[in-house]
Amino acid sequence: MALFKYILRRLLTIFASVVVVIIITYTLMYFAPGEFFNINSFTASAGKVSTLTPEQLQILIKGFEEKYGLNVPLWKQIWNYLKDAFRFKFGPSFSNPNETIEAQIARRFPVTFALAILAMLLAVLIGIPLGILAALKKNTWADYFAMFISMIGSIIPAYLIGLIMIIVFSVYLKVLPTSGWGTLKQMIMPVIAVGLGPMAVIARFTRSSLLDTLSQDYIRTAYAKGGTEREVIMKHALRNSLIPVVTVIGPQLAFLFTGTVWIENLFRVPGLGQLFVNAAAQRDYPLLVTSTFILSLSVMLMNLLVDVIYLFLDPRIKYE
Amino acid sequence: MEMVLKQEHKKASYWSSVWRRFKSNKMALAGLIFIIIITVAAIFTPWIAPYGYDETNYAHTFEKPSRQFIWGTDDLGRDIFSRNLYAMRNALLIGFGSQAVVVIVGVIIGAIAGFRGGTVDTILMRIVDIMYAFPTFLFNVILVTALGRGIHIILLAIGITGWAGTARLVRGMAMSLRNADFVEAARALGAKEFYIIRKYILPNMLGPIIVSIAFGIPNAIWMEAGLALVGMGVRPPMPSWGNMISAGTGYIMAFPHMVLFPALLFALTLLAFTYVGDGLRDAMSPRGEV
Repeated sequence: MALFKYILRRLLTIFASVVVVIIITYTLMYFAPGEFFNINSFTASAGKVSTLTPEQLQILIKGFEEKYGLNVPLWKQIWNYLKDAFRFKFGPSFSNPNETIEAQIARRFPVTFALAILAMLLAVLIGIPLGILAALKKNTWADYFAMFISMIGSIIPAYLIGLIMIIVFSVYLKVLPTSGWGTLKQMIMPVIAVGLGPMAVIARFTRSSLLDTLSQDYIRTAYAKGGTEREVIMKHALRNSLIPVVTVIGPQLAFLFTGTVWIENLFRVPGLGQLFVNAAAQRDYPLLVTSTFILSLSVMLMNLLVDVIYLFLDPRIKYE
Repeated sequence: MEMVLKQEHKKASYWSSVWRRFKSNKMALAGLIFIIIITVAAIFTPWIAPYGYDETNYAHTFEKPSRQFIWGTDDLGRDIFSRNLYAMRNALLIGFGSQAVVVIVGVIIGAIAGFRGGTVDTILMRIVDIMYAFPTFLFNVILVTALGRGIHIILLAIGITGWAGTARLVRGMAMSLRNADFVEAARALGAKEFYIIRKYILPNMLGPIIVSIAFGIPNAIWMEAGLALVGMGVRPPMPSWGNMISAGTGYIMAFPHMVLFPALLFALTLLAFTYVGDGLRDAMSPRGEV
């Protein structure tokens, strides 16, 4: 029951946050240069360059206004947008008037989701063993190697890692394609590029958490009771040291979702990040507001999911 | 008088012990020296740089490093070394400037929330929660799209989107310091609230805030590069590491030096700040005191 209440409260916070995100984004876009949302200034500037007669222009603008719902004041536009947003109805975008935004999102969301989840899996499945190895073999070459990899991953931005991989694997070795998404070969480089940063953080955190646990009294007790090294590590040390690792996965997921933005543009992966950047570059405001909304919502829901998993894993934590 | 003297002495010994521990961390010290060098270079860039950042020379495009252009030239024949110096200047301006915004906003909001408590605290922390939930990079893209790509706007945008963590940090410290015994004692002796804040609260908050600045600067530099990679960073011809790297990407096969130098300097700078941050945190954490 307490858990249910906790989740409900978090969902309410997410709801409020998403509403604020939409209001901020929509308002900023309304006042952005170009002023597409502000129909009066649009009329004035279009009148200067258009060869149409004023009447024709009026009809054109009227159609545009109605299509994008811009013929009402700002607060009403935001209200209408919010109402539609929670039914996942967003209407057409400026740059692609024949397709609704929800259709574009529906096409692209699975791609970004797959990229993020695969990268996270990579980060967890390599980062945790690497961290454990480094902690158990502290101050040996294995430790130094693991920490060197981890340093590279956390210092060099994902974009540069992607770039270096393209040079090595696509241009010189010619074994992997530089762009696209769908086949296994196309997925390898984007997933590694996105996942390496979070992997580095997870490896370092696992190492320090395990080292911390190994110095606890109960580990000494377990040894004193005659436990073998293997038993003590598997049963006592690992379990307790891996719980805090879950806490870094949450923020890393958020980081990873935004990391996909650069990687999708570098590798031409047709996902949400590319949609977001294109929308910003083309000043496609409805699309920009909507892709911000969807990306933010995804990040917040992922964070909630990780927190709930953490609650299940660590019985000492109380839902406040 | 004697008490004041004693206090001054104690204060000096705390910071000198921090410095002693910081010095013993070789990587942190190397990072600090690197940062001092690039900061001095950044301040004097217009006098050091052999060429202007937008000085094109169409007789010398895509040149490999030579005596005339020590790091070579780019697609418009601009000197890459000079452009790197200006990019460094912009990066440090964005790094330090955005952190100034972060500290001012974060400390004020956090301190008010922590000291006042009650409804004020609840309202402010809800705002902080929302700021925290809004993915920073997306928020920056939105702000820059709406407000423009001037270097001061980017600096401000990174500051505006980055203060939530600092506010939480300061609030936490304010709440625990508010009821700390030595503050209670000062209050009981009749000290004014402002005196307490200046004399006891702020010095105790200084360490963690400095550490958060040390980590905040590379994040801000990184954020500008991230914006530049999607075409939202500092507007060319003004160079930034991000826009130099993204411009060089197109020529990476034939002329790798166009990406190599900015990428290297960029990575080294991030590394230096990270090591200094690590070193400061270890030197200032009370657990380090044995």
